[in-house]
Amino acid sequence: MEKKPAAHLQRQKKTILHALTDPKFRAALTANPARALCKKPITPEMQKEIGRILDLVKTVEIQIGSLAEELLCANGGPCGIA
Amino acid sequence: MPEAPRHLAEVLVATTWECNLACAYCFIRHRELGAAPGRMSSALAARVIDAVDEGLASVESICVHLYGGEPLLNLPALEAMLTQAQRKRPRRFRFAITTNGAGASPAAADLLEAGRFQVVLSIDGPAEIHDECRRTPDGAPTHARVLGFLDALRSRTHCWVRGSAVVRSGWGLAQAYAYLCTLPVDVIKAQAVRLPRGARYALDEAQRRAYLDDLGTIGREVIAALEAGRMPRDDRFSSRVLQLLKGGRRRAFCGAGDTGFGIAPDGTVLPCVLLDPAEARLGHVDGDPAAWVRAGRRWRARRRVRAECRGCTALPLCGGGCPAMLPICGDDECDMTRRSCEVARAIFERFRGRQEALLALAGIT
Repeated sequence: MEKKPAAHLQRQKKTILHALTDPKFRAALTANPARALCKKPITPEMQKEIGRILDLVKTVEIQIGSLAEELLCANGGPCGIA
Repeated sequence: MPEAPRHLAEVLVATTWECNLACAYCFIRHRELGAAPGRMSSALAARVIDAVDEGLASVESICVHLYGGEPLLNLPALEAMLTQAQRKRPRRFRFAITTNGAGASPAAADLLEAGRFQVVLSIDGPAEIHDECRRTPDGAPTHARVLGFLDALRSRTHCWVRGSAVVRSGWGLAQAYAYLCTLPVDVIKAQAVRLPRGARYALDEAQRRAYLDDLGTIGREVIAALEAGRMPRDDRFSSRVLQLLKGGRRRAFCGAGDTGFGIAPDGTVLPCVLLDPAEARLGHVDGDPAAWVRAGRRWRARRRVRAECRGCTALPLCGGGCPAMLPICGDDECDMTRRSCEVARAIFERFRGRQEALLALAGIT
């Protein structure tokens, strides 16, 4: 897989963080990425990247929903006692 | 939970309460084994998949987490669930298992690979520590068998593996943590034994204080990993730090009764498999799934924050404690959870102004 430059990864993380913490931005990113990112046009590659970002935001939310140090949870938080 | 989007539900399925070990500190053993022996049939296991698929239709994805007892004692049920899940839409189901690994066979490893299981494998420490408590009913040690199973998981499967140790009297958190770090596992967790104070193997006062100190030490190791851009191997603080990152309060300790359910070997549906069926039965997998889903919501709505939690600074991150564990070891559980919340806050504060670094807690590096 092509390795992305550090600056690109940092930008990606900022977008993930923004989408995680700002529901309006996230909704806009889903519905109208060109407006949310102030970029026109959105290329197919960028669209793919946005999809990946939204998936990663979902991953973070799943992890928030689990309790790693507690019993049983498996997704980001499996059980400590078996 | 903080405005939980319904991405994932977790259903804990005990396919048997039977176990091939007789661990000295097992709370499940004392509570359940005598009361409800038997194994879930293959037909019922397939029905579990259908029932949760229907009942949790509004949730994107369902994790079926096999528990017990020892779930690898009931491979036909495991296989039936995998087969039935394959008939659903792609990525609808994922699987996890908590196992002692002591009776695992090549066939079991192959099934785990087929389901791409997340495996929670119990290994307390080196042989002399592990085998002191984790023995078969006739007294045979199991450490070598468990390591053999771990080796099989690593060589035969692509399963994600969590090494899990029980911290107990005479075996501290820092020691368990250090031991787990030597194993070829993806993530680790060492956690205090769940026993009432004064019980054999329960931590005494000094050991509890040491445990709380060790949580701080692990927190510093998490910070070091994040500073290096790595995902920490011990992820016990991750969900709470990420919650602080996102903002919002945890409204309940877990998703029990909403995005979490438990299913006993006889098909009884509960908010969590660790709750007493006499007090928390929601229905049966053969019944209308909508009925046990509604019953789960009612069970959840009836739960109130305990009086002693109301003034607790940890409440927004804790959500009020585990309903299954509070009756067993509530005070200890609270002390440890409160300390975990403090450490989570310290980790979060450390990265104020450069919060992107915290995304490594979710594997985003």
